Amino acid sequence: MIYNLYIFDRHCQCIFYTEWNRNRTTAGSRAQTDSSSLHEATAPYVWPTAAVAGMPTDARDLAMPDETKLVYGVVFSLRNMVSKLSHTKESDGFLSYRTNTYKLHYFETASGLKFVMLSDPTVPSLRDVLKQIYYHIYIEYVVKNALLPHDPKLSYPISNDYFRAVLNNYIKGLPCYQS
Amino acid sequence: MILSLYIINKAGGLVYQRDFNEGLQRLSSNDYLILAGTFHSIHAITSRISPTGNSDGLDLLEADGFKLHCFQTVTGTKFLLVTDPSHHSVDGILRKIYNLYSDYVMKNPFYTPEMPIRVELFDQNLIRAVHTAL
Repeated sequence: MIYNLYIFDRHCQCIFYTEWNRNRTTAGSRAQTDSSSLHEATAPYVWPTAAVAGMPTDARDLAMPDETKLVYGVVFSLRNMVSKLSHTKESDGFLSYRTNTYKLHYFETASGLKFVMLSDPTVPSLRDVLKQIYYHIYIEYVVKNALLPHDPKLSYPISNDYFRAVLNNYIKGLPCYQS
Repeated sequence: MILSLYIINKAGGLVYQRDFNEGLQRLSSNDYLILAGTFHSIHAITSRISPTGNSDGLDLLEADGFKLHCFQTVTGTKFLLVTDPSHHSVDGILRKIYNLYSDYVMKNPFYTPEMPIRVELFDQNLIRAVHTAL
């Protein structure tokens, strides 16, 4: 089962977020507005306003931007920790971690783009899936998009429907998508 | 192959650190303390970012050159065991280490809880246990 995907750029900004199979722990009505507003939004980096405005009743159900910051923090610290401990000085030292309810997969490109995917703990390594997303979907639909403004000092959220659609198709076709 | 063991107390302080085999970078004792503190916080955060609601903290971290297994006791003490990536089950040895910790550290009347562990018998038995587990 695949839960969600975060893409962070070099400036530590989350430029893309999407989720699948994710049932929020709070009231069902909110869970519905969450998923529909996320899947149909044209600008992907739109957090469900309901989740932000009506503050969570369950402390675990964090408002979205906070959650991304936490994910980034965890990934960043673990990466540094691993590179400190390992003998070989490589940037792709950290691969994944697992808790009793989920597993986080990590892939970083040479240019500093970070792909983070959360799945259930039984899923084998999704590193190749993240690489595929980068090489065949991100490069094709975001990097090669001539209409995208390009300034390396700024970060641009991915607001490309093709990217989203192709990504959705690809993920839904994976054997581990809903098992 | 077991590379090293860290014991972190419930406040995030490193109370024990020992390398058993080569394979990890050696750090200064200050860096080990920072590492333990960082891990302690990450462990707390990982239980909060779960997509499914309730989750425990990180229990297995996979990296290029090693695997890090974390076992947290009910009292909040964490045992981190670093092994090489091909190592599979460490549950047995982690329990064994926990037993040794209870026997030789907690039951030692001269040991102050939450303080760095300097207990010779624990060292000896730990090394023996790790070598028989290889």
